[in-house]
Amino acid sequence: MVARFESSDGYQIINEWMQKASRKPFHFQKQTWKKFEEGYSGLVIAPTGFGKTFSVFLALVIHYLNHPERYGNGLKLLWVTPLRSLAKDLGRAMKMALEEIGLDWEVGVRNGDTPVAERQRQKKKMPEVLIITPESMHLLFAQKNNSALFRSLQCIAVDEWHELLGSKRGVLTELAIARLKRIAPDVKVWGISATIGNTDEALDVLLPDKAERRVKIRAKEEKKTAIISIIPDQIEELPWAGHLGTRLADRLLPVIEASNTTLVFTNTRGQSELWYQVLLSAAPDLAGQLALHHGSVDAELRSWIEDRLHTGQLKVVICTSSLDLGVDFKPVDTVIQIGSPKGVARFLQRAGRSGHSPFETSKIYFLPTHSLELVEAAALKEAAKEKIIESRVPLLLTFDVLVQYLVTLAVGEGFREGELLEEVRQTYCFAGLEEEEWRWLLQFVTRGGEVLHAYDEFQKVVVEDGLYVVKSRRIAMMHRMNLGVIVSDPMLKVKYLSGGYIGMVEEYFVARLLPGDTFGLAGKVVEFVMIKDLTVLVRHSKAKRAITPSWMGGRLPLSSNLSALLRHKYSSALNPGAGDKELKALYPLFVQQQAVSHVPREDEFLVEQIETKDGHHIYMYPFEGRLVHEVMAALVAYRFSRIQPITFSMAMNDYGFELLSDQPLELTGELLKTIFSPESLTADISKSINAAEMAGRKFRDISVIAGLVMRNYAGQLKNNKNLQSSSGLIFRIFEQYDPKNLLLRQAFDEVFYQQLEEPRLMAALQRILRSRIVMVKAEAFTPLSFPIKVDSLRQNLSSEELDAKIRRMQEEAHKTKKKDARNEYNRNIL
Amino acid sequence: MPGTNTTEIYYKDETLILSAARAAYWPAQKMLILADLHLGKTGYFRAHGIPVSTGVMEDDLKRLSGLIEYFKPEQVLVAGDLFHHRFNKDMLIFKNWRRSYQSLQFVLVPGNHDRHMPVDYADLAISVTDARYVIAPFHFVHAMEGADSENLTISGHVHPGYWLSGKARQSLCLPCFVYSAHHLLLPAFSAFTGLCTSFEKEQGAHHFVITNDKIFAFK
Repeated sequence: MVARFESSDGYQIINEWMQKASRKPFHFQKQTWKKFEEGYSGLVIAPTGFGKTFSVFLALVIHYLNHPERYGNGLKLLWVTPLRSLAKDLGRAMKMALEEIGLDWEVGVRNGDTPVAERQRQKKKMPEVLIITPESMHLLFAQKNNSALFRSLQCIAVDEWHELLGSKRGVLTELAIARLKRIAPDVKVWGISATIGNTDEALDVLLPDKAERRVKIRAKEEKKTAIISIIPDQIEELPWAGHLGTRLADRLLPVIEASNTTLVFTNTRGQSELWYQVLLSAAPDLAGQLALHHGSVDAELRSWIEDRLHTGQLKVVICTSSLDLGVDFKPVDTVIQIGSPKGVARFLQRAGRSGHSPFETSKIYFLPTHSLELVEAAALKEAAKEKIIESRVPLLLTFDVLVQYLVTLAVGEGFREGELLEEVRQTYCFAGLEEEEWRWLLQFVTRGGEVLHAYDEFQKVVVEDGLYVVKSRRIAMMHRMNLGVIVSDPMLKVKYLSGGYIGMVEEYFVARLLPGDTFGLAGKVVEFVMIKDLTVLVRHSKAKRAITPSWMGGRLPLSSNLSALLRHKYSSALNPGAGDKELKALYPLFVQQQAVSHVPREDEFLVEQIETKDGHHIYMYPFEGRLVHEVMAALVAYRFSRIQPITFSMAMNDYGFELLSDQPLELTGELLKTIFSPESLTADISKSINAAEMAGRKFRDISVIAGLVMRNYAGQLKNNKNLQSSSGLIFRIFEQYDPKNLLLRQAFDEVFYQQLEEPRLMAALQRILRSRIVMVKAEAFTPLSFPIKVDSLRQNLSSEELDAKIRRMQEEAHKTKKKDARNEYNRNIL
Repeated sequence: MPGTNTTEIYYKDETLILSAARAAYWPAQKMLILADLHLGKTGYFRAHGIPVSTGVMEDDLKRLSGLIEYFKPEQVLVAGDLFHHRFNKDMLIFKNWRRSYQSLQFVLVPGNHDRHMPVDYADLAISVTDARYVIAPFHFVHAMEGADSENLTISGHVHPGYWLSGKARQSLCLPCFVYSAHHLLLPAFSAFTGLCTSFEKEQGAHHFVITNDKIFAFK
């Protein structure tokens, strides 16, 4: 069988072509080609840099060369990629291969950047290969007679499937696949993914029909990654808490010096702005070779930076997740991660941005921003070694996306309900869609919902002879403009008074500025003057330091994989023979923690009680990540308050949480067991957190995706001025007048399953109950509690004041330690 | 309204009663003062494919009726943005509502928006004033421009909101009156309006923050 495939014309041609370039196909590539030839669909899992693209792309070429008679004119391969920036380079590579192979195929690109003329040309004559984003694909569905474009489609390739999976863009892709399968029933679907924790599920989401011939192909090749922690000579150099890490800036300079080009990843835009200033003042000669790249930097400037990354003209680029994905920059040979990346997949992805070609080693330096982050570094290393990578949990029943899709189709060719229901249920996301929910959705788009009032004027989708269509050109236009599922905060342009565009900032950040305030953006310090015509006008400022916009979404939650490893690392921290360099360096700190309190082992749960003039602090350390702690703290506080009337204020970080009260609380093991009981969990969570408020926040995205709130396009706002409303307002109105609205239900579901991670919380509680509970009364803040304390201060203080305050508190803690050399601790182990 | 909080403010020799039902009452003139009713906004949204219940507007009008029953004013002054945008069927609901208050005067101090509205104000028995309308010591206008040295300017337009933040990072934005030396800024009357927190205010402004039926003073 293998021999027969290898003797096929198509294979011979490709093999010859590769040999000419002295290349040999990887085993997984050959496997993919063969399975494709045999009529399979599937999922290819391979590390970046090993020719994933050519596995699926050449599979189609070979198949075509072997069976040209099966191919019609026009579009043959639809290449779905989540990244616009990849499309151009990908197209170029495909085009070159096709030319060398001798195929006269056109490769087109279609996304938000494609000029109108090009789009119209494509509509008249589709290229053989079209590289497209999920959004642009749906925009095609919103055109008249779009089915005709896909009649000869043979293959849908979904690139970076791990990126799409688990997001609403993934749901857009699922819906598109279901539709294209109906238009071209023989179409094959191939996903391409990096390694994730749930590859079987990834295959199921892509190809839900298990009766289909489908296969999972995993590359044996591995990407080698070297992870190097930057450890200060004296552990005291590292603060116990903090999130900037700028004290170790000097240590980066030799690394940068020794490298060709370095990418410095930070977790937030604010942090990247700060590091830009810090590096520039530490090494002024970097000026001109140092650039800043994040989502608020002007798109033109960003692509200028990317061009210079390609040509190696930049020595250092400080970036955020803005450069996580995308085209490879050949000159990049070193990556530095500032602070914990909070997830294994993200860390490895970033590491992979260096040393890109196969068999080259990716090199990533980890710079901790506070001492305990070194434990995370050790955990990350272990995860990378053991390949413990996070799963991407697919979304279910995202009604907002379905509402959008119904209108998309109605704007395009129109749809018939029975037919469409069947098609939508083919997707993994909507396989469980109930008849009743479907009815509601149809009503929602045609009549505005099941409300008693006669919505005489409601106009969106109308039914004509059983066909659901959009008649109003205005609604169709608005829908096309608002299509997509990526919702960002409204952004305002920032310009100098004298002219000159700097970048964008979130509206809510500007809302809190007063004229004369200075802030940092795109590496510049500017002074706020005023807002005019939706533009923030600023002037140059001589101020050395400035507040940096603390963009939302900066705080990444610790993934559950990483937190499990973290607990494991703590367990071995007191072993002098610990293998990890990081833990060795931290040994003095752990000794101190053990002296004043306790270092929890894997099967222990640590509770610290500390009295200060602020009141009675209780610290608990589940190591489950900030989001879980947020809920757990509220839950625990609620359950305490049921036993004895008491009020707490709460603070948390990725390691644990604090409950602070003005009244003492007598803790016993018995009491803690009831507090952590998983019984009536959902009910207690609902009572302890303001679920409605959290759901309201989730509703922000939902309302935009479902077309209830118009997107705030800078400059285009005026057209829609009279339709401006906020999601909060619509949320309130729905709660009051339309409580059965499915979009509301979705908002609450998203809170419970995605944000609160109820299943993870449940597992954590059960683990805590199984643990040995260690209760300690400490005299002063301990190395573990200190960062939480600081985190709670961060909310009302600017970063500079905070720094000073942290130092003072740290000194106080050291003083107490000295004073208490007798080690008189009331240790209470149960 | 019964069960609804009020508070009093004083300017020169006059008293104004601020109601948690998002309006002010001037006893000396028997005048109910409010702004930004945005009638027809719900219908406008529906016509553009965004389902917002008419119940919202009906409840706004119910609240207005409640105020009228409670204060028994002789006139209602609306400081701009009575209607949202263009005519739609929602306005017929208003027309019906208006009929049940025949003896009540209705005065509109127009924003530039209102003046271009194709509405027959005479038919609705609404008298429209100039853009600035003065009954000393008050000066009514839709959008505040410069301060009036003689009179207190009473305006709407902004839809002012006030951020309250509590423990555990909970925060809440609520509609409010903003009262300062030269200016009384009214909350938007309609419940279907957003809130704006970043507007210019004079030094030492008092905020009268409205929860469902209570009113609280914050400096």
